[in-house]
Amino acid sequence: MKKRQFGLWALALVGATVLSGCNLQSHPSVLKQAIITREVDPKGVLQVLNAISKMNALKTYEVKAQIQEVAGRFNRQVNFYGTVRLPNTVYVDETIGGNDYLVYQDNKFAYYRDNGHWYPMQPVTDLQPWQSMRALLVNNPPKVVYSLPEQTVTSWLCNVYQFTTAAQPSVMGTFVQHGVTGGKVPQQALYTVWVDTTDGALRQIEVQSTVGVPQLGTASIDATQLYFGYNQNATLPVPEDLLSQVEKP
Amino acid sequence: MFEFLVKRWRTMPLIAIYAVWTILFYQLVFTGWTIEYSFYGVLAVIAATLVFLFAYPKRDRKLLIRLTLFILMVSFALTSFVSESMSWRIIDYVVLVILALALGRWIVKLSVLRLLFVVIVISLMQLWVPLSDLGLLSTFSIRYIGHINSPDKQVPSIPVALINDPTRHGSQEIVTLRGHAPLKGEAQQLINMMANDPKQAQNAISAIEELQHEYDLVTVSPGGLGFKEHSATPAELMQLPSYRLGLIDYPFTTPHFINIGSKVRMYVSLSQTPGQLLTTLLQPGSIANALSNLSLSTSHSVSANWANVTGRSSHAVDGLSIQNGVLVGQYHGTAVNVKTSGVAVLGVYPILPLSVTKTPQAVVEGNNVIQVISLTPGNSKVVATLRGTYLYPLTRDIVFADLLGNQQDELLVNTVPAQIFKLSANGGWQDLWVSGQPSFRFETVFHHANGDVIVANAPADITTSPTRYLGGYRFEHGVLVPVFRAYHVDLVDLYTAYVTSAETPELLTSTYAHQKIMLLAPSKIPWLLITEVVYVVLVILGLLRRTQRRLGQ
Repeated sequence: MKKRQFGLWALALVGATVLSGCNLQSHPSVLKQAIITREVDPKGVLQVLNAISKMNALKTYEVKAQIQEVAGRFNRQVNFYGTVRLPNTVYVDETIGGNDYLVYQDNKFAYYRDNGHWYPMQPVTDLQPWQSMRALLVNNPPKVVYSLPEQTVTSWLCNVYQFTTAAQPSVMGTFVQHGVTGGKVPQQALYTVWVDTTDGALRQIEVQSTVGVPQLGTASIDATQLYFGYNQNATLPVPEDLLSQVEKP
Repeated sequence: MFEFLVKRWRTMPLIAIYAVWTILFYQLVFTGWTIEYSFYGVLAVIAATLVFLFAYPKRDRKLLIRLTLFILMVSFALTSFVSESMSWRIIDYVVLVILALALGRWIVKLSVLRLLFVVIVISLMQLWVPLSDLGLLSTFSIRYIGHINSPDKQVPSIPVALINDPTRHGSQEIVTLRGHAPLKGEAQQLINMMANDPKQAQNAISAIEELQHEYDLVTVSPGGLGFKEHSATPAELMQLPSYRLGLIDYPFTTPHFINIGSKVRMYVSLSQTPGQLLTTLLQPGSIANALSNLSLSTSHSVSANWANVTGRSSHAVDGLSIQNGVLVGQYHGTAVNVKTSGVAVLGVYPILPLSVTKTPQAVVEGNNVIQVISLTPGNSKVVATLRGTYLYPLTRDIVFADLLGNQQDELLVNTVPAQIFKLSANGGWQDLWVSGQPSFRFETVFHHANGDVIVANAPADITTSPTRYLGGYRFEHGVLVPVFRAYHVDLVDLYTAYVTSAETPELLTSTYAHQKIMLLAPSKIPWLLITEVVYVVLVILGLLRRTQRRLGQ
């Protein structure tokens, strides 16, 4: 009996003391992991350009993307998910903040839906994201391209290339915003490109950069976009509620 | 014994205390164990439950289990509808009570009146502390809870800020938002404003368009038996820089502030239409530049609008500002003029060791760089530079703290992973601590002469989940030693505040996706310890009851 009571007491004591928690140790090695595993790849630019060339054969693709910006104490993000049929049809869901939006475009018939109501918008003219990457690499070739260990993106085993080069203004001429004086617009950005090991197609692009905002300090930007569903027979019908509101020409 | 207790009215207060203890023990101890220690915590919970149950003789056990389950079920049911409207809450409550009494009568086999007494006790407890926030009670008491009262999802977490209270020296007022309910005749007032005031015409048009999505800026301060709220005046808001309330989904949305009468109103619009954002996204080769420009233009727009509404034209912090790449101003009568790559002044802090200088330094931030600038008369210059990388960018998400109690501040930087930096006498940076968990983040500090206590949002010890819970830590011998844990998720934008007292620090926080703010004060009653002691006492009582029974045989 005494032994049993002692056991029960010991259990209760362990339970009561366990809540005091564990000390949090320092882990400096975490910072080095991302850097030590990459190697210089002299053929890196060529590999990325080849992957971009393969995308020219596309008629349809799907895109899933996330833009994150960390500023002050907050991490805000925008998410996109949708289908593009080249040269000019788009059906994309967007989440900005807590709100959902839908973008539908068929040539010049371009609208976005906000809170159940459709509004006209300027048609998106360049629907081939890889062309801006090609322009970047041609106009501002990176001095060094690193090769990272192979990674699996969704289900595709990919070669990963990483380089730092110019954070150039829009080169496609469709949308350019003019900077505001006083800030520190980034001169450069870190680009990471995932190329499918099987067919050499472009799978994912990540762009990381920072900007110095007056009064606010550094805002960091991280934009990732994944391309998939290549040349699937995607039909993009006009949303019914759009047709009930606007007559398609 | 239990039957004796629950079937006499004179002993019902003991049953009320048991109900409160059961809920507290479940929320503070069992929930804490399972969150922090995963499966090991579940094992501990099972062990503690078995110890508790088998401490009592068999004849007491049945009623003990049934009553305990009944108390927990009622408490869970009450928690599930706290977020509904008042009319639905009343209807739900009536239905709940009827169902609970029927269930209780069937399971616990107590009289309806006694069961009703237990339900009322749990309901009153819910009024004291909402059960969803009960995890905070291990460390804090909840002084104030404010809801935004808006169905609009545009604001993911309500911005909170603190200003000096002009009527109570050393104390502060809370500035926050309230969902605006359109008033009768308000649209006409805006139309008149549009017609009579050309400068405000565009704002008035937008205010009419966004009437269903507007917010009033209010201040909250102690008053009467609790807290009073009034519309924030431009003079009060002038104490705040624009970014304190203007970073709602920055830079993707832009908050606009307008003066309507003596009140300040805010509405939020998209910085770019979904179509424009899609265009930006589909050009990865230029997206860094495009988003940077969007960040700058949104910030510029909010800042100009804020200055227009509040009259705050100076961007000086501690008397210092950055103009055209030069830190200028006066610090304690000394003129400062130092070229810098910074664009924002973070403040003046003692970053260098006291052995080097007793004059604190200015800390400025530029594009992914922090500079420390000495303010020593006649020798103002950049003394140290800390650069971020694209993988570990240095945002303004920094807490300054004297962790070692040596009157030198360390930088607690929320990179991913979070790090602690200390400046050496030679101008080099020491990386004192690096978090092993990517989601760990520093929030604020409670100042203490022997070393500040860090308030952080930290994931559990044994888990791969990034979910964070409030925790307090001291930095000792290269590790963070836990001081407290309060199991509450989604607390964001935490500030050390002096709202109800000029001496005792409190914690002001907003909750992500729940549109409410809370003011927490360190609890004077050690609820966690009391709950644990009561557990031990109850186990002893059970064992005594067993012994008594055996002796009787």
